[in-house]
This record gives sequence, C-alpha cells and structure tokens, in this order.
Amino acid sequence: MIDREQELDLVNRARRGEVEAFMALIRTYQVPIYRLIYRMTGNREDAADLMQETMLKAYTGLKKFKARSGFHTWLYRIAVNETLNFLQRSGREKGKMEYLDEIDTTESGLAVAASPEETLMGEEFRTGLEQALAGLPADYKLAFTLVVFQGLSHSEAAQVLGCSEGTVSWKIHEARKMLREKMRPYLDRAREV
Amino acid sequence: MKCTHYQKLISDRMDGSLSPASQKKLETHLKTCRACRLYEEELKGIEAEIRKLPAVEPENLAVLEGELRERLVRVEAEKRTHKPRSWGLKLAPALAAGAFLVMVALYLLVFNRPAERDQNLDLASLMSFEDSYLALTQTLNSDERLNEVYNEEILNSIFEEVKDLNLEELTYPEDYQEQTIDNDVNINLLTEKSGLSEGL
Repeated sequence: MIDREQELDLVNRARRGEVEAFMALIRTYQVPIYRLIYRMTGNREDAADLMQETMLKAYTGLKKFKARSGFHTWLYRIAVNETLNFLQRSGREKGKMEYLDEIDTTESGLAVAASPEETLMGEEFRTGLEQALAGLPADYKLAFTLVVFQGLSHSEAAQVLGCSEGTVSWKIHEARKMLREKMRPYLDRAREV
Repeated sequence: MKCTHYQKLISDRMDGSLSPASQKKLETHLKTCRACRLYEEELKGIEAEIRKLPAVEPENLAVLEGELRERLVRVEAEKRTHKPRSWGLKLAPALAAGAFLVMVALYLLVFNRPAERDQNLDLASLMSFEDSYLALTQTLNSDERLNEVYNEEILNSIFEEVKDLNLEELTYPEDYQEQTIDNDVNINLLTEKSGLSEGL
C-alpha cells in the first residue's frame, strides 16, 4: 500500500507520461476495482473489459484529478460511471420492482431444494446469498458493495457516488433489509436447526 | 422512536458510522426490544457469511496488465505524434475572429455614423481627386497639344461661369481699390517713360 505522498508523486510522474508510474499507481487498486465491477455485472469478461476501460480513462483523464480526494476514490468513481453506463447500454440495470419479482421466484426454487440438515453456514446459504446480492437494484448494490465489500466509509462512498452520506447510509440500510428478506427461508431454517 | 429507526442505526453501527450519542440510544433500546436484537443478530449472520464468500480474482491479471501497458504506450506515442500546438497557434483562430469583430465594431462605431459618413466620403473623394490631379498634371506635362486643349477648356468653362455675373455689383475691400489705383498709376508712369502708351 502506498502512502499519500508516494501516491501524489506517482500521479505527477504519470501526468508527465511515465506509463510505469501509472502502472505502479493502479497496481493496488486493480483487483478491488475488478471485484466491484464483477459484483455489479456478474460477469468476469465484462468485469475485465470495464476494468481496462476504467484504467485507460483514468490515465487519459489524470489532469482532471485534483487530489482533493484520494486517488482510489477518484478511480472508483470512474469505475462506477463506466459500469453504470455499461449496465444501462446493455439494459441490465434492475429496478426495485424487478428485484422484488425475482425474490419471489428465486425464493420458492431455493426453498424446495433446501434440506433440514443444512446449517446457516452451509453451501446453499452462500449460493442464496450470492443470488440475493446479484439481485439488488444497481444503486443499492453499489452503495452496499463499496462499503461492505470494499471497506469504504460512508463519506468515501458518498464521494464516489456523488451523493450525501445520508443517502449512502439509507441505501445500505435498505439493501440490508432486502437481503434479510431474501434470505428469510434460510434464516428461519437455521433457527429451527 | 419506532423500531425502523433503530434498525437504521443498527445498519450504521455495522459500518462504523454511528455517533457515540446514537450508539448509546441504540444500546438502551436493544436492552428492551427483542425484535431489534433479532434483527441485528440476523444481519450480523448474513454479513459474516458475506465475508466468507470466495473473493473473485481476475483470471489473467498479468495479461491484462500487459495489454493495458501497451495501450498506454500507444496513447503516449499518439500524444507525441500529434503534439499539441503552441498557445499562439491554438489561439490563432480565436484571435483572427476577435480582430475581425473589432474591425466590424470600429466600422459601425466610427465610420458608419450618419452625421459623419458624408464627411468621410468627402475626405475619400478629396483624396481620390488629389491622386487624379497628380495623374492629370503628369499627363499634361508630357503632351503639349493636350495641355493647350485642356487650358482652353478651363478658360471656356470659367467664361461660361462668369458671363452672367454683373461685375459692377461686386464689392471690393478698400485697400484692394487703393492697390488697384496705385497699380494703375505705376503702369501709367511706366508707359509714359517708355513711350509705349499707344501700344497698350
């Protein structure tokens, strides 16, 4: 992990056209950015392509980085924009109603397949959890992923998403409620066991 | 406060974003509310499982890095090929447009005032008259015959102009008359001395 001073030095060198300085700058953030995009798209190939596009845009737009926020926040913002544009282009952004419809369908399917022996920590629970996460509406999923998976604070997530901390807080709260509802059959079963 | 409010506080506390004051309120509530305690327990259980989900890694990070590096090198090469123009050249179209606008504005403000427009036209015509006069003088000096014809024409036009004038009515300044008289006296003296009076 590079400190703030090193980061700014690499940014300045990359601005002057030092490709290797830029590569060193993004090395720490490549995988987290990939994971964020993967969470949003659910597809490895798309995640790889969008990660590359994010890095290329960051390089060509380095002059716009004002260093008021951290470089990683700025990079996440580009990644989020790229991903949301991609989802919009491909018509894959889900609305809340679609999500709720999906919950009903998936829940019934998973409920039939579940066995009483399975515990809360079972494999099926995780599969259900992955599906529940994937089915969250895009904006809720983004806030949740940035904070819970990527470890950003509400303040940093707000900077990335261009909204208030209150909005981030509320979206994560709602996302947790949706996940809990989606995981209700597993939670109930676990309590019985 | 309702439980829904405390459930949001539970969510904030899980993210480490709860103020100490709100945390105290939440703890007080949780001591007495079984539903909220269960809610928190379930959320913590879900998030514990989320942390256990296998981390997704790019399949070929080294290849991706190589591809990205190549693209960035190409970007740099293109930058050098299409080197940005100097500020002067970048601004040239804007400066030209600006100069044109200034000229138009000056014309409208200075040369296109109705009251002054005629004067300026006169000035222009005078300048062209001067040029024409110089050209005419040069032509006449180079051709004697043409010079004579021109002088005749000038004299005729003068006669045409003055033929209808009553010269008696013209008034002259006093000194002009005296001068004329003096001249006449001088002429008479000269003619008497030279014996040319009959000749005049």
